[in-house]
Amino acid sequence: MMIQSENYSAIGNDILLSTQDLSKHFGGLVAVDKLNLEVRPGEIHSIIGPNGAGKTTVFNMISGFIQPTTGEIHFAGHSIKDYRPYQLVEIGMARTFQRLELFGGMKVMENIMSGFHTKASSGIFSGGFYLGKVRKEEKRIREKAMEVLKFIGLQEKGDRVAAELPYGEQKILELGRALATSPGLLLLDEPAAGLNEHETLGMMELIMQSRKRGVTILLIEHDVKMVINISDRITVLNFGKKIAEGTPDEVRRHPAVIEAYLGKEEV
Amino acid sequence: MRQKDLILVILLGAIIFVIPSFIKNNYYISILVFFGINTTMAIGLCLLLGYSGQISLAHAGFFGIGAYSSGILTVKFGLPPLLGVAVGIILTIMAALTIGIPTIRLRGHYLAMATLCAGEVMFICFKEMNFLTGGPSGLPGIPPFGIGNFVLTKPIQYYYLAWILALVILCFSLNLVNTRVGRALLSFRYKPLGSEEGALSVGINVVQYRIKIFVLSTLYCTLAGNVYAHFMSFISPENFDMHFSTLLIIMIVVGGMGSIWGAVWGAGVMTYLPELLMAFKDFDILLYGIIVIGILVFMPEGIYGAFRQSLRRFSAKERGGLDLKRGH
Repeated sequence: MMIQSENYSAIGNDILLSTQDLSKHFGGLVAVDKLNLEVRPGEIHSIIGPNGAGKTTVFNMISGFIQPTTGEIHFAGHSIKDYRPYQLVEIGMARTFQRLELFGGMKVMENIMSGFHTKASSGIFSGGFYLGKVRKEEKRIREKAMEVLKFIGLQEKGDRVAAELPYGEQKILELGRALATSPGLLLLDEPAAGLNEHETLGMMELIMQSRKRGVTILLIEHDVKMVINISDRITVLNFGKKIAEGTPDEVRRHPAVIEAYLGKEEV
Repeated sequence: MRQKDLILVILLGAIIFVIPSFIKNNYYISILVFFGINTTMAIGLCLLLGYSGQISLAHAGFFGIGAYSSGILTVKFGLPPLLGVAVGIILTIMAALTIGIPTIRLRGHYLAMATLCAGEVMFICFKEMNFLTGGPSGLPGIPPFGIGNFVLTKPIQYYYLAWILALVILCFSLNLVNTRVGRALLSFRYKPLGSEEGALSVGINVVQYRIKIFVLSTLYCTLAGNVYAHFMSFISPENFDMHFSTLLIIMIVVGGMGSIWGAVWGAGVMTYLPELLMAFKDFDILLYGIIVIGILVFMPEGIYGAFRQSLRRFSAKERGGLDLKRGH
């Protein structure tokens, strides 16, 4: 069963996220080589490429976990090259991780509530003395977190400890936590990694539903079938360089892409 | 705080209020005062170690800053006790930032070593600054605590002072951990309980929270120190050494690290254990060690954790099924 990527009419021609000559050198190794990337509002944009192509390094630079060696990154009108990860959340960027970074010791509901951290303001003083505004805020956060849980389908598991969930649900939980930050741009690092076909379809559906609600998606994936099915545009990296870019149809026919994936399952 | 916390707090308050009707012996009352003072400090360490995952072997030093601020300002300068409290708070914040900021990237054993050194430096200051602290022979003659004409002269009054402070700290902390800040602290614990990257990815400024909670925990200790100085009327550096810092850690490990109530239990056990063992004269230290190690080995979640586990097993049997729920 194929889920077609809709031609979402709200995809603007302005740019939400862009990189200019973005590079990362680890000593002598060039992990990312002068990458120029553009993500348009409302689109689902995928980055694919063989292992070691530099995809996660790009993500880590965009999301503030690694400093670029050279180049620029612009998001929503800000130059974000020097932004720390927690600062990016406030301007509307969220991410998930290839290897889950959940709060395993907390309950599912509390993981989602953590996502609302930047949407709330209670601090040490107001929290400790449990001022009226804190009580209201806690109630509001709990309600909103329940909405997110319903959206991702985990509303029955709110009281379960996150570490006890099966892997597929943990992946979904991390997506939910990122959505709780109300991002304009959501970076998904291999959202389908380790998921079976059924779970992958479920994840794809959630991604499409998120886009419907106005979230722009930039994702890294190895599951090429999934990428072809849901992406509006695809950027292909190899050895840290962009080798192709375009719609799924354009990319799958591109000779450089075919060569990079030579020997693997036919794209 | 949660509903069950509120019920327990009210129960504790009632017990605190009722005890003086039954206990008139000043020695027993003084142990209760120490219990209260230790509870305040243990709760602070619980927030630091149990919630944000940072160890500190320096906290006896902050206890000492509070005690010496109270002592020095009242004895050497004749100033009112409240000023001693205020100065203690200021000095503690300065010391906490001086220690906390450079050590921000340290974890585990390295953080333990760094805080151990910091605690030792504070201890050495108490010992060597004779002109202020009275040096190794200590600082005698600390006047009673008082505000204006209201002065606390009887041990039972210090019992109330220590336990009112402990109750306020308890309520404050229980509220804190059930709100946004509490969740933030839990979020950046070591994996798999938490994840620093995950915390950063939801906008939590991990560094800032680490420092804030370190300072908060030291403030609990300094307030405890103010009460201690006025109650004892005599303090000396050996009250604020590495041994006591270690004892504070043992309190929260024995009581159950991830739980504020565990800190209360742990403070109680470690305050009373030496008293209970006094009957064994020469063997008391040996038994002390065996009991503490026994608790650590057989109750890894602490006394409070073991208590909750047996409650869970009891209710699971009642319901006729396995209950794998773990709360905090």
